Amino acid sequence: MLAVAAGDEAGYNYLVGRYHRQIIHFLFRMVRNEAIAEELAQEVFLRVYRSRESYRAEAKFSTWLYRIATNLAVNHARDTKYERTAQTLELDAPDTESGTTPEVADDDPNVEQRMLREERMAAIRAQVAALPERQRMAVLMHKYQEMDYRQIGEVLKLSESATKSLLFRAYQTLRERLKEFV
Amino acid sequence: MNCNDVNAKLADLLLAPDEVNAEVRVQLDGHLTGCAECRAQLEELRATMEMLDTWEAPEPNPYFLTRLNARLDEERAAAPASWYERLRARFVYGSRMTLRPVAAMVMTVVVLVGGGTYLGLSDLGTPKAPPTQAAVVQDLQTMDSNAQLLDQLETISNQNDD
Repeated sequence: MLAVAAGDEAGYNYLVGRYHRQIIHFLFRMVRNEAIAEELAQEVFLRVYRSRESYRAEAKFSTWLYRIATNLAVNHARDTKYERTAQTLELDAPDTESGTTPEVADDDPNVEQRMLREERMAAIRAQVAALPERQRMAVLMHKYQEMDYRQIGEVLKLSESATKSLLFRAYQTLRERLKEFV
Repeated sequence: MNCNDVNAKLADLLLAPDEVNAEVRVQLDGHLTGCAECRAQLEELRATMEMLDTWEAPEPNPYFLTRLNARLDEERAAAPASWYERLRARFVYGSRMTLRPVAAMVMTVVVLVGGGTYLGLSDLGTPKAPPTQAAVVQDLQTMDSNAQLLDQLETISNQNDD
């Protein structure tokens, strides 16, 4: 990234290639909409490009990248706070959250299992979304981006002990609310 | 080790098991073997974390990189970021370390200006009293002016005698 700061465009392309998928996945779980997640991810990498000269080696590139991503996700949540309404389910349209098409019940004996699975998925999405913002970001980074709590603390600008507490509280809350599905 | 001790260590056991001291680990395992409640809590937490794995994210649009490159081309053609944008990026995305030189500068200025102002103001508070002269100095000055007077009188009288 220091090379990119000095003007190495090929280096920038390499970093985009390496990180774009995980950033999209992180943002998808934050905003729960594919199109918005990709739009925000584009903005993340544009900001990386624009502020490349500001990059300093005191932080890992991925830490810096996730700071930008969390910043954008928080801004998006704040800006769309009053726009979020219940989604109406259209049977033929793919679900914007999971990307799958909802299926009407049929005689298939596995339909019950499928419904239980979908119910569990909906509960996980809803309960993670219901977590306070920082707890949600910490869980997503820890569980899905496989970052250790130290790096998560650097992204969120928290001490190590504060990060551990935050994560632990989040998992405890999820344990309580998702008990029936475990 | 009791349930409260285990609770305090549960976060470490869950989030950083490799960092748990070996001796503490043995004590924790010992308690967990005997305490169903603590064991249940730990197992439920682990099961919840495992269940979260089932939430898969869809694959990104194959044209994501193409669209990004198009926007980057526009970006390169446009003006570079202003000094304000770059400074803002440093503070928003940088670590707290970037603030240290600024904090040092601000503190120095505050101490100099604040300290100087305080000293200046404390002087203004009390009116300057005229310097009191010692009595001895006053007497000597009187004697000196008297001596001058006597000299002058003597000179005048000598002139009269002549």
